[in-house]
Amino acid sequence: MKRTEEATLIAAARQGDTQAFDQLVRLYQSAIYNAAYRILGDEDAASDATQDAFLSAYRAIGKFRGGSFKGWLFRIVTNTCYDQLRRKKRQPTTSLEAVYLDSTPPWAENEEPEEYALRQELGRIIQQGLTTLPSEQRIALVLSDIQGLSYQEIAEVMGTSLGTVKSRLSRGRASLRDYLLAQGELLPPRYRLKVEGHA
Amino acid sequence: MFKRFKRSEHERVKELLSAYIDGELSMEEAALVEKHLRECSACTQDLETLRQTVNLVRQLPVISPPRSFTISHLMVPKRPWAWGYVYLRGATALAALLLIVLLAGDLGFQYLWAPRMAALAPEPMALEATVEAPETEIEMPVPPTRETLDQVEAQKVEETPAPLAEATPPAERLGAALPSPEPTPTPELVAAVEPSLPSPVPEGLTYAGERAERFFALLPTLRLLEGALLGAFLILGGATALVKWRRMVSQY
Repeated sequence: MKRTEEATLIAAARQGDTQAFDQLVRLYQSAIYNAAYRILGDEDAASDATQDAFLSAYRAIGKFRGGSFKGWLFRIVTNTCYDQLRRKKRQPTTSLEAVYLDSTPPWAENEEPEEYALRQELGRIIQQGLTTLPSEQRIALVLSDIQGLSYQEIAEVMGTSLGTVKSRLSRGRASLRDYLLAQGELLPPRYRLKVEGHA
Repeated sequence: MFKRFKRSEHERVKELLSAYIDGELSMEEAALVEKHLRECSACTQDLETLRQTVNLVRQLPVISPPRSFTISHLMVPKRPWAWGYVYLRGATALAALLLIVLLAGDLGFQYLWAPRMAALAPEPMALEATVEAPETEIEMPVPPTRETLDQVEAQKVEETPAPLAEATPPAERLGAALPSPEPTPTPELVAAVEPSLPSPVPEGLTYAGERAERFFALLPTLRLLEGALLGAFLILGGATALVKWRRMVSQY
């Protein structure tokens, strides 16, 4: 979609045109849902966060001051995820293990069953690793390595400085790396981290 | 000293490796990392495992959302009559309030004020008649107080016909006591006073009577107004109910 088309849809949505806003939702819902899923690690929670984020975005679209609309949506969804994580911290109801056993992420279609199973296993372990990170580091890592945002964009989304983004990302990646190394044999062989001097 | 310097550089480079992978370092920082990597195998290994980690995360496939997150079905569409409903509701309430006030006033007058006025009417009328007496008899030199006394006496005389003959002497006596230019009231004066004596149903309208009469004259207009207000209330109430029903229907 061209930027002018996006701007037209945003202008219409500002006037209360929900159909125009729905087009924007269809355009970005996959990215927003994926970010929420990776941050929260739970399908239902991610769905709730995504829906809440879009509703909030619609209500606040009058406050959108231009720039990257996708970045603005990421900002809203990360705030929604923060809220959910805070609530979850206050009311821990389900164990992490139970969450991952119950949730079966819908993987990409057109994939060989074996490949699908391996990637599912990889995804499960990486997701567990992500969940061990502090929320700020996790969000920075998801925005950078899953959503492909630049450092500057991440700084805008998280409302922080470039230096803080670098620091959060560096620590988050290092912690995830240590987690994956610790998993060792649990990872499918082709996805195991290769350390010099080890098989 | 050298070791401490090298250690701090090692720690610094370790922190810069992540941004180095993304090409987000300044020229100086990148040069520092590259120089250190040539000397430090631990950092080289760190960089390699960090790269593999980032690649693994980037390999995570995009997950298809389990459903659509469009919002139009969740939102109550903006209704052009939303403000109209507020105004209609307000106008209905206002019409109802005015109608209640008007009806209360109407009923209050008919069943409370009017009978009370009717019951009280003779006394104020008598007083008013006594006050008005001097006005009708301007030529009379007797002041109003004196007149009142005369009237009272005259009334007594009328009520008790037996001592009719004595009616004049007290009047004369009272007249003599007053500092009037004519100490003894003439029979003409008494005769002039007598027609102005109060009657239970006055022929002319008294002040209270005028008010009541004026109100009764207004009654048709009042009833018309009440009818109009009732009609307005019914129409506005009906319109409000209709709009509310449409709002409820459009919500589901």
